[in-house]
Amino acid sequence: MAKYTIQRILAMLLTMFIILTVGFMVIRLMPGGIFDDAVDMTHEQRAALEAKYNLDKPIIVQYGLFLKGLILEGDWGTSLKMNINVPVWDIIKTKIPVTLYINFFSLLISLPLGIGLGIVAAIRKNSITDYLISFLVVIFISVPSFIFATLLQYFVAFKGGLFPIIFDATSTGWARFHGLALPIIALSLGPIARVTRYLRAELAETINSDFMLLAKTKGLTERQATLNHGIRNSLLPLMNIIVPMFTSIMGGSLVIETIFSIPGMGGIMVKSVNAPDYTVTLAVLIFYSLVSLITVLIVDLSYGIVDPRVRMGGKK
Amino acid sequence: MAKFYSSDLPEYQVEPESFEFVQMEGEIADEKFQDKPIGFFKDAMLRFCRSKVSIIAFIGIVIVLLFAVFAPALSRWDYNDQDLNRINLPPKVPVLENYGILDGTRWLTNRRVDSLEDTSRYPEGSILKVINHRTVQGVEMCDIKVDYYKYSGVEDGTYFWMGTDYLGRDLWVRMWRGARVSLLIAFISVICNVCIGIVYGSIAGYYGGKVDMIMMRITEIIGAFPEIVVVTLFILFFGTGILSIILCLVVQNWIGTARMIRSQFYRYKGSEYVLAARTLGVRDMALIFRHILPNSIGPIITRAMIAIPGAIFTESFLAYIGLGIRAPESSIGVLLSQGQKVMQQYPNQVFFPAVVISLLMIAFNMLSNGLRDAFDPTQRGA
Amino acid sequence: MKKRVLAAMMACAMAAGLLSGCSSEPKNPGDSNEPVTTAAAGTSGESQAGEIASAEESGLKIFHDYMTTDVDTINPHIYTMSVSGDVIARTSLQLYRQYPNAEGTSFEYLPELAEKEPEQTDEEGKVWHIKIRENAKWENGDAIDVDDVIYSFKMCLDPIMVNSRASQLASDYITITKASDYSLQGNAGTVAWEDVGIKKADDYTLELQLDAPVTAEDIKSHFNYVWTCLVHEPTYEACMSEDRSTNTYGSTREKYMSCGAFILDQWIAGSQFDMKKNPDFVLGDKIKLDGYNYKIVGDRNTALELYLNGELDAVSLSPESIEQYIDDPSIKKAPATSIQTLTINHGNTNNNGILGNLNFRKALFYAVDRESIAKMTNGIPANYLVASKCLGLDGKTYRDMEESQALLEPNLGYDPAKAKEYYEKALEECGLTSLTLTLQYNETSANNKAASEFLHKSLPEVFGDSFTLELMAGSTSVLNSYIKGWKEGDPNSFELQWRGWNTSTPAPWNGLKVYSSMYSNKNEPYYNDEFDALWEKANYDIEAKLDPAYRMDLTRQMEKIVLDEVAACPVYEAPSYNLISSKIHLVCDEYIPGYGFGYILSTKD
Repeated sequence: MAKYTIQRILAMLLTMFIILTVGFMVIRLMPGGIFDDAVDMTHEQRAALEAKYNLDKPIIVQYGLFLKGLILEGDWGTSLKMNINVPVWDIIKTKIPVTLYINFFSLLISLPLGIGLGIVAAIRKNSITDYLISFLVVIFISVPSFIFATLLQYFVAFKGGLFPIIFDATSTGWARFHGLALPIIALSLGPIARVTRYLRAELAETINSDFMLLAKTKGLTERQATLNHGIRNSLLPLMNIIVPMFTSIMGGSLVIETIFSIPGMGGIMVKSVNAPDYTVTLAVLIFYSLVSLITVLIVDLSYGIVDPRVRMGGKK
Repeated sequence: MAKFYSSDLPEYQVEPESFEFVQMEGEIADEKFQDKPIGFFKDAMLRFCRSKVSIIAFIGIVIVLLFAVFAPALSRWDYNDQDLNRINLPPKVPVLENYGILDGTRWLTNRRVDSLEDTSRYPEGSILKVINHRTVQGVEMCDIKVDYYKYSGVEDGTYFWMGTDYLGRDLWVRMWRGARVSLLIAFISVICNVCIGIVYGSIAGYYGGKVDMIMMRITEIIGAFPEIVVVTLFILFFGTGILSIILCLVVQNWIGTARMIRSQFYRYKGSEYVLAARTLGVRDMALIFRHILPNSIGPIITRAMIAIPGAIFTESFLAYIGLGIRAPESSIGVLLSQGQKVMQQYPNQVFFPAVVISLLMIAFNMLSNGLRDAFDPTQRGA
Repeated sequence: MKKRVLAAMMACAMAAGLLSGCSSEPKNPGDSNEPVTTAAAGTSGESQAGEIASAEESGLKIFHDYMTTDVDTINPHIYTMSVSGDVIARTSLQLYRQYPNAEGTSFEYLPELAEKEPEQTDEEGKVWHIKIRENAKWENGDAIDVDDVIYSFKMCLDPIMVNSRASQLASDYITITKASDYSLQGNAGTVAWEDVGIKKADDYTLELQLDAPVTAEDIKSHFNYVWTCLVHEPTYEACMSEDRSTNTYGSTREKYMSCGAFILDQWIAGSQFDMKKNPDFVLGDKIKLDGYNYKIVGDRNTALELYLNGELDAVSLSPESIEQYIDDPSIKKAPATSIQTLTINHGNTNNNGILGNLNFRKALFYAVDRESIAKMTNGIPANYLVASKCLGLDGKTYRDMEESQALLEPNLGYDPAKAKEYYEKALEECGLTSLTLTLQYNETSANNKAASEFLHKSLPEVFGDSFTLELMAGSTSVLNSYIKGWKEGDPNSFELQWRGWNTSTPAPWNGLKVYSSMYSNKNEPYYNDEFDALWEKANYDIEAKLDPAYRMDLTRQMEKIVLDEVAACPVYEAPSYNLISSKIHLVCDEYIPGYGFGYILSTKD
């Protein structure tokens, strides 16, 4: 296991490097010169600017310079368009907290709620309760979140006046939570539905297995059997979807953050691609890749720990 | 010194002649099969038909498909018939209009009272109700309810069941035309995803070791690129359109299937029955596709069925950020994102596509449950 | 079965909720005689009402404005977004600035940091003195003298930093001696700062040396721009990188110093700007507000809700919501910033170069049903290439002048018969039997999308079945890369694309530079020597500068050329419709041509 883990970590570093390289090239392939749309300037002025940022050199040379800066000084470059001259990590740093905040609370709501609903639905399988839950789940999954966010904002915040329409960045403490409640709800609907559906399916499978039959045979009630034996077995596979949910914590949601005017990570990728702002795009790309690679690694390694029958990396 | 097995050693050489059949001629005491043997798929079919919910779901999908195929052709209007005299009409349905719903009326707020007499603006009989008389900055204002069809000057007896959009196009036709396009995109992309995912995941999962290591790193690299970057590049190289969207939906989404298949292989390839089959000399390909893969057929089908509405969903996200299908073609995603922009003004424009996508999702969901149960007998009754 | 029934019930319930929510009877805002902004404002929630009440209680008159995108920086030398320019303009000083005239019918350039009009000190008009005020101060109390002005300009033109606004400072209405050479020399060191025509005459007088004779009006126009705003030397130096190649001035509140009408009080990145009145502002008596706030609101429906709730004082309506407010007394119309045109890639070699064929371009011009498109977009049809916002003479806009009207085609340029005729001639000349063109539009523009879909349908009806228009949506960056493609060696990078130039309002002759050969940001490979000569004359000829009527005439000649040759095919202008709260009293009830609504000069109840 230790050897496999080390192997995986080394491979991860190599993968990161390849992503960095390919990413650099691909992002430079993206359309639109940085200074195309910016301001009214003369040919000479534009050429001078491109020379300043080395954009006039062949792409390999640019990549070399970038790597040099990265390795020698840990320099990821500065933004060229979105927050001009600000180091890219500083931009990301300022945007992470509020995104983490809403996503953390959204997880805090959606996990227990999703697990609870999933258990209820599985125990009461094929009852009205189950159908009601399944129906809601489907609605939450199938109607895009931008529709829900707009509806919530219009009816609850604007018509109902129960919450602020947009997030007030100066608020703190309870007011802050109050201001972010609607985006948190809008963000939670999807995960609640996903957890519920997954758990219901898993639990339904477990309930039918032999050991549950045994549990019932030895005199446990349906409820006892499910709660004591069934759930424990079903929660483990749930890790499959929960861990990736942690990844998306960093991602934020473009749509919801735009609708509620939250200055978070959501859409930083879309915005940097549209700007276009190469350095920001690359840094964000690397940031997300790193988070997702670590997540995949954890999931893979935990397979073996959670279920000893699975030997990861084993040959045929 | 221990002896090792080697078929060359004389003491291990066994001639075929030294075997003899025990029961070649003898009676078999078991009962003979009375029925014909049932194949895997027929068995699944039988079980599937037994589930009412699945049948309903199946019929629901068929109905949507029928609508998608035939409704546009049977309508008075084409999906791209424009008429600027009838833009943004509310829905109006015969029969229902008499009950006060979907009757083609709309509230217009903030009207000047003195302008209500102006018949060039409000044709005779178009104003049904006037409320909220008030004075705003010295101007008398009110809210009115109008028969929007008369207000726009559309001739009597014209019905748009779902209303019209910003170019006066019939949303009923566009809805079904859109459903057709979206389903087409979804089916093609999901089939591609599943095929690539199965092959890739099986190989990685079965062979394990270095092969797995390299193959999974490749998926990580492909998966690392955000959708928006990939989409922008595709659009740059292939232009907007169905092809780009399908490619976008395929290029990264197969990775999930591949990962799932791979973990299934890790789960089963160590099982006793696989060991037994291998001992009997079954080839790798047969092991992969005949012995291990069928275990995954349940999850694959469930996944594929859910992926279909999922693809429609992604398509609508792409439409929302402006990378949707080529106008003036319609799709559920285009309708939804267009509808979201005018949700407060014309809620019908987002409501109907949302209902259709929800119905599709429910139906596919139930169908996938039914299929999973059908293909995986251990889940029966679950 | 139960599930089905339940599902149906739920669906009905949802449907009822959704439909009733938006189409039920609007709530009565109460039968008081007090002015109510809108019906829906009456339904605002208590929590917001509370917050607003607390702000009002403190008695501060703060104008609540919003911006749809985040700013990139508030360093005047490198900003690119117009919203950034707005923030800088409100918090920093310029030598001259536009203010509305006393009647509110137009604007004039008033000396702001400058004390009075620029003085000509030579015979020709190439050397000028600008006297600056002696009482101007930074927010920290530092006095402002001519060294601050010179430092700001020097940094803007710095050859190592290569600021994007340098070329505009060096040469626009006026061309400052050696300024371009200085800023573009890189590390060469061939031009010293002392050679540049920006000099200190005394502690409070700036001397300008120019390449060509200009008028005082030119100087005032040149220094009305945001990139001529002052920067604070100690702060700017502190933000300089070690090699003096980049500068982070204006990236946070701490790295900025105000001296304008307002002081930047709080800046939360990506969220809001709070500004308070500057008591030391040189034209302090003009400012009646106690503060000016910006919120960043990306979604237009959200902005409207905030306005209706009283959290914003003005909002620009999205095309979809205009219908519901068209009668509202608070609605105010502002002219469009640009004419939406079909940009034509004249140099495209596909289809035997039909886009370079004048007959085809004329056919396209005559085939566009501008009136229908205008109706659909709540806009006005445009069969001209100088926007209706542009100013003319005698208090009229350029478009309203009779002579300018005379050069336009009748019936808004829509003539299907003529179009068909020209189209067939063009096909014949190019040896084609059928034609398919692709029109690119930006998906974020609802109006352009609708207009594109309209043309997709209507152009083949005019031209016949041999013509097909395909549509292609793209993001801004994709479209930019296509439209610049012909400059990078790919003549066929695009065929038709929607574009609109936001050009100078007071100087229409200058705005037409976008069709001249020397313009570097050109959209289309269109070249015409006669046009170029006229443009040079209208902009730099002293005779034109001194005779406005002659200048107008030159402008008309230029417009006639680009219209006759269909350099681009104008389609519509989309004016913006704004709701402005009844609490706000503007300096002038209507939009002031060339200036705007003047929110910062307004008073609030």
